[in-house]
Amino acid sequence: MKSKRTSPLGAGSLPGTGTHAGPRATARRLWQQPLLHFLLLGSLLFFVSALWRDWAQRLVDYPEPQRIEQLQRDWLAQHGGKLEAAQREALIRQEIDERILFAEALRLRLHLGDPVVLRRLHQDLEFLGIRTPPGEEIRTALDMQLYHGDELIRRRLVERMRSIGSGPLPEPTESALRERMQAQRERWMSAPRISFEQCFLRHESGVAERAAALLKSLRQNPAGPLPQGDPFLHGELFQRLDEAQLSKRFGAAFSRQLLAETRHRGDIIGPLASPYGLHLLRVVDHDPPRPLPFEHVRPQLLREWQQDMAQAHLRQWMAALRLRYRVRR
Amino acid sequence: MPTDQIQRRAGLLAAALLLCACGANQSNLSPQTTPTPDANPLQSDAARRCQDYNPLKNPYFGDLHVHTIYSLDANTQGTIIPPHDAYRFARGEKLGIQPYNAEGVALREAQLARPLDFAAVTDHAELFGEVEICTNPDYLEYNAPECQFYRRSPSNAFIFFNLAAVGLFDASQTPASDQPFANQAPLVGSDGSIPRLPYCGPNGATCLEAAKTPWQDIQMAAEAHYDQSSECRFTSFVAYEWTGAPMSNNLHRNVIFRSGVVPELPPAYQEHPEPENLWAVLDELCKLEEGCDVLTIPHNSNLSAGLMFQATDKNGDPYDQTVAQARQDNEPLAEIYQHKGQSECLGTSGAGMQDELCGFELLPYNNLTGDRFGGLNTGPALEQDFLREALKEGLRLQGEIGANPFKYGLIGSSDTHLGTPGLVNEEGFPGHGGAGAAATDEVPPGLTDLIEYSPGGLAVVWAEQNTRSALFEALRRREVYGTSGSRPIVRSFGGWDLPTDLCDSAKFVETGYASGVPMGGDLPPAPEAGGRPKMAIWALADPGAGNEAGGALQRLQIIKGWTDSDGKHELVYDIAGNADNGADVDLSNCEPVGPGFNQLCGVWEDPDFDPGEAAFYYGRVVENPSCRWSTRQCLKAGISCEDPDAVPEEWANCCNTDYPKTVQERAWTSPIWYSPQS
Repeated sequence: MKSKRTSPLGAGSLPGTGTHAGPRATARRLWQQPLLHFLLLGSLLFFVSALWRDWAQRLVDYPEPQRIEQLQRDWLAQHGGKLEAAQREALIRQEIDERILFAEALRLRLHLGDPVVLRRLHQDLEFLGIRTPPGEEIRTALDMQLYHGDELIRRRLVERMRSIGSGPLPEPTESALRERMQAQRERWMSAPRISFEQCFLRHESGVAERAAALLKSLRQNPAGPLPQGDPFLHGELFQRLDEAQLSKRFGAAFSRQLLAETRHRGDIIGPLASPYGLHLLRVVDHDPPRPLPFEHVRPQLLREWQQDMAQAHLRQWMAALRLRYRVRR
Repeated sequence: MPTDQIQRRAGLLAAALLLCACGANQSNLSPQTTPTPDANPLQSDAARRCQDYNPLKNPYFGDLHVHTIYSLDANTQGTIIPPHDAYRFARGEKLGIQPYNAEGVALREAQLARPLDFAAVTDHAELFGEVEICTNPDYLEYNAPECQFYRRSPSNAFIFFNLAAVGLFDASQTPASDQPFANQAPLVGSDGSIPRLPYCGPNGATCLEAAKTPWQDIQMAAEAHYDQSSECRFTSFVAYEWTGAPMSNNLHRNVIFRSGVVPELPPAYQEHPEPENLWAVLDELCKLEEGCDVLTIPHNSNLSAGLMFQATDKNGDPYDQTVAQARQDNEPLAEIYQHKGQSECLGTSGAGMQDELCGFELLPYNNLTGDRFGGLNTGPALEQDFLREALKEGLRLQGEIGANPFKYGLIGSSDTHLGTPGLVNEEGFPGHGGAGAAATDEVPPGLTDLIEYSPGGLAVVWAEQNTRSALFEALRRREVYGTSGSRPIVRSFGGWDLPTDLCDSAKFVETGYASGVPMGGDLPPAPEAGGRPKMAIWALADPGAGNEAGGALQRLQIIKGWTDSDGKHELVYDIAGNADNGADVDLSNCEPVGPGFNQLCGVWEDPDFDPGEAAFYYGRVVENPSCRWSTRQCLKAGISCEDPDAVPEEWANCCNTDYPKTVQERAWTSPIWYSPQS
């Protein structure tokens, strides 16, 4: 018996097979094949099923009232004062974000390959006293979904997701760092510094009158020698002190007032009060804030630039992730 | 503590350590250099010129005793602050501190009203590797029984690890060291070292390798926060704590490196269980590469049960000149005060018996477990453990063997275990953890630390500028003083020709240097024509800032110690101010009452000087009384001791009459020495 030749698609002979069949006819014949219908339908079902599963997994619960209470208590313990409505909303948003991150980590099955999580599941089993056959511990813990009740696992996976969302650590160009420095130039300035000489008068009866008289004579001859005052541990001449160093020697109020009143070299200032007495001052030099050399601040610029890039990447990534999740109230 | 809380705490610790971990490895034992702008860090650092360079020197305030996450006692109590954050805090940033909620968010905050000028993170080196392994599942030994115990019960593991690793009895330090059985016992240093825990493997190699990760992170943090611009706002030192405490008798030393050139691993107690070993190995390792220099600073001699100032070497033999000189060369400073009490004087002998100020922040026991085990492993404090007595003993040894092993300059520091350098204000004291109380999972009700502890002190350095080189040189020459937490500015000079009216001079400092030596120095030889040494001290009261109220001064004192054929002696002289000024505190609101001085100055001449007798002189600047930290907390809690039965148990110490309601903050200058041979 002669065997009947079949098409590779296995559905009988193809009329007109041969050199005379055009591409359209071939396509039409292919389209009519039941096997193709089966494969397409199967693929569609698989795709829809995956979408459904994905959709079902991308669901988190809105924080429960007791959880929100806890968040508020923690916030108040840390910051004190009153929790504003906007801050409360921010706490809830942050909690929802963390739930999304945790759910996404489970969806991506990060927990299956994480040594900390697996070790922790092992500990959880031991802690709960659950006996399993040797080698079956992790599978049992996974089947029981113990990871849902373990705060360490949750935190670990959330942090891993944040790390993923931050993207790889970028390397800036030199010009990017210089531009950043330029954009924040007020931050990268040297502190204002003052050099001055002083006439110090210790606190004692009549010191205010004495100071007023000396100040009057000093203003009459502002370039002349400073009048003789009382001795002071730090002496009479001070070189290039910034606010912190002034505060250390004379107190914060003195420091603020001196910086506020200093305008020009030769200024006569005072009497300024410190805890030790009254001070009549003549400004010897005044170094206004100057840009610091780029090389001195480059390490900090780099750290901050990388942090900002990572945070921006994370924000963008998180916004996209939020769109793919539903929040069940 | 509930198990879930313990696990959560261990988990947070693990996560934090993992986040901090960095895996670079080094393959040899030679010193390594962290990145610096120049190949020779010493030369480049010394050549820097800061904006506030002052040849007459500026005062810089700092803290050279700080623990972070890498210290076992700190992290088993819930501290997860890494060195990087500790330095941020020292520079004035706000920091969240323990306890933490389930999300790892700190429930308390702290911030310095006045940033520090310098700091050193000094984590306990002995268990760097052990902790790293137990908290990092990448290590095979992560599942060792000791590690499982560590993660399940951190507080118990702290005791076990400490006793097993750094608290072992070291036979060579006892009078019984000549007994064969003592040195042949398996765990008492029979081969010259203390065995590490079993999971550390042969010779502790696994733990030593793992120790590199925290040590490198400590170095990186110090490097990142060292301001190398001409602003010179902050200096950080690479440092660690060598944590020897046989049977809990404290021999701890902070080890401070001058630059970023440091040994690949910090020499620890297990491998180098005697101070003499430590100095030898530090010297050996530092010689391998230019730029490495180091000094050690002992602390809490008050808790050493007689060990800290024992002048015997590792074999129990009395110090000879070489060993005594090695101690003086390596160890120029000692911590006279920190949160575990003062180590100045006990006040049980000689003139000290009349020195009522020796009662300041005195701990009632003599070692690190004084508050544990029902007091069975401790005893009463010993005078020989206090620096005044040690300074006198040093003079005696100088005469006897030709070198003074106890020639100590004086500093204060905090010993914070919360990663908060400089947090030493009585107001708002959150406790320091460590050996004291900690807020591991919640802020416990009642006082924030053990009643006998206190916020700790500060180190003040007179240096030309705020760089590592300038500060280290000042530490080395002892031109430093310690405070009990406040910030008075104190200068002292000693000399034969200091003018008696120096306090009336506008050139106090210039004259002091020209005619004498500053604190920490040695008087030159006595003039042939005879004469008596003079000491000049000038102190400005702490001007205060923010919630750190400045304190008015009460008096200036000179403490003289000397030796003669009759033995050791001491005298305390009031040289300025008024001990009976009537200043006090209104305990109903902690407001100061009565007069005080905003500055004090005095020039004092030794009335009983004998050029044939070795002597030292140090200054003590005493403030008016102010409320102790515990009094402030009791007041805020509204505790009244009129009806003791109504006082909640957790606040019972508010009514404990063994502890004063007020303190007199103070500063101690480094001594100036006179030697008949000098």
